[in-house]
Amino acid sequence: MVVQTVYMILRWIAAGRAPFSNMFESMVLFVWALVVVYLVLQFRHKIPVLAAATALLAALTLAYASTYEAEIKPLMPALRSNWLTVHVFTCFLGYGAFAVGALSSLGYLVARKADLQGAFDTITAKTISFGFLFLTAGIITGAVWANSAWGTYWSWDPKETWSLITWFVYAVFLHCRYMRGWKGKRAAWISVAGFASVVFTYYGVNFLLSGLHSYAAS
Amino acid sequence: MPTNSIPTKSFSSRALDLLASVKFAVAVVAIIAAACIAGTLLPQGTEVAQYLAKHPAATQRMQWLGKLGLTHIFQSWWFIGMLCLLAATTAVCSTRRFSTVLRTAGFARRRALGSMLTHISILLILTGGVIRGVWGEKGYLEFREGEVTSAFVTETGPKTLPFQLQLAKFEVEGYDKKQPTVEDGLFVIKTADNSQKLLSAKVGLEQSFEDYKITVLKYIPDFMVDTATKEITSRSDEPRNPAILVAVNGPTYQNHRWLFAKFPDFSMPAKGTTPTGPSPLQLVFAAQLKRMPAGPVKTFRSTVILPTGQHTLEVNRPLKYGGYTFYQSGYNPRDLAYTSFEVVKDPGVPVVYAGFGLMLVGLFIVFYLNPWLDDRRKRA
Repeated sequence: MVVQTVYMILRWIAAGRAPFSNMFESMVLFVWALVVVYLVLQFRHKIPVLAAATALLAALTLAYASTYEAEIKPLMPALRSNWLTVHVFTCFLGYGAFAVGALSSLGYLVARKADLQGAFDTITAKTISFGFLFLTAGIITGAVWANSAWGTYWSWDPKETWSLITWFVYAVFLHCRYMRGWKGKRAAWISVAGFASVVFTYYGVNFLLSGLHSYAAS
Repeated sequence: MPTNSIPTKSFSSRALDLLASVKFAVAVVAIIAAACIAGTLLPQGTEVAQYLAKHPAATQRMQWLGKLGLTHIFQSWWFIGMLCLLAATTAVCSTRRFSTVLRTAGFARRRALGSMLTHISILLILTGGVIRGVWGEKGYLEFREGEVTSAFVTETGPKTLPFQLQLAKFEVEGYDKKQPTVEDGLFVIKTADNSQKLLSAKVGLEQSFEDYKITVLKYIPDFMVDTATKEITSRSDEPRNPAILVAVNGPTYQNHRWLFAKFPDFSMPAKGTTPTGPSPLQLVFAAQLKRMPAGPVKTFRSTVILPTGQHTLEVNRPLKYGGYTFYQSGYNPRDLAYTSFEVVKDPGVPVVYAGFGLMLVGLFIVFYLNPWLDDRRKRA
């Protein structure tokens, strides 16, 4: 993670802007966020199998990122905004947390020991609470940015709409958990569904649906 | 005598209970989410025409989807109705959280407070959207350098601003910092019947217009006539008074004339030359040394004159004036004197932004501040 942080800082300096503007850069940021969230979590919950799963996901994502063009390219006019940095950073910190939450939920679903299941369940709830705050901040900063660039904070663009769908899924998770006491399998499945929505919002929308975020597919 | 009948709740009380229930809220959210998914997968609004152009066989299917309100989901009455239902359930939840805030203390109170703020924030955001829908305006205007306008076009038709604005200057900036030269410039050539053509101002390049051969012979960046020698010279290397010497050769007319970028209505014959008659062509060096940047565009900006003076706007830096906000939105790479603005009046924005702020505060209280305070209390 240290090497990756140094790499991102060097790329930031070389580009003269935050390295958060295309698929390669955002995947690198996602891996960074994923690892950061896990490392912070590790202070309280040490689960080797979750560490291994996180490392595997990070390695696979980095390998996939390497298939994209890594050349630093200048930003198009609409992306030249400080809101880009805040918006993408907050979103990806949320995505990283949701990824750890989904891994933890999958761990819950396959685990057989009750104490391990309990730890996975707690981690799922904590990571989703963290991710939800940052996803919300990401959607809000995106809306403020859109308002300063295009004069509309919400235009039902596919990316925006799928972010909202993801937000709904996790809002349902949090309500079910804290208002109805949902734990265990049901909560784990919502968490997995939420992360599937994250993946579609981040990756699927770029390639399957057109909209204001179409530049993100490059 | 004691009665055994169980007191029944009134309809309004049961309706409020329903609106406050998590099950109901989840159902409403699920329907909205399903509608959102459909809205991103099915062609919406203007996309329908584009889709039909590519898939003409789908006309009947699109008509059916249109009748069902599925080609304009986000503007449909039923979707807006679902949002109203979401607002209603959120409002009831907020009220109940408020009573919890009043009744409880400590952890439960703070949690209810954070939750209440988050729910109120949703109401504020939806209210801001309603304000925009009722009192907002959104359209666009396009004009050229020098033009004055107060008209803009919205989806419902043309509208007029309560003030005028003039486009003083429009510029496209590239990442490539190379200064434009006369070779990047253009000059306009017109005939009496108003047909016209843009020609390159590149020195030495022979170009054709109807039966005429036109060549730019010379470029002077800072044109002046030496009063002593009467020779034409350049005062400096800066393009302060750019001029080109153009040779026009046609079957019945030949001429060598100086054209000036800053004085488009004025031209003068070259020293020692005499036109062969009245010019059938009107030549204007309209260049102002404008060109598209060689590489990617960094930004584009306009300088406009408003009643309060000169103001600049560019991408991501809108201009606010008279209750309207102007957003730099477009240009024509073939005509860099032209630009377009989005014109927006949205009195709901402060309400929406208040909702955004409140939501972050509420979530922070629920997920961080409250657990942290509780943890600290338990440790103490």
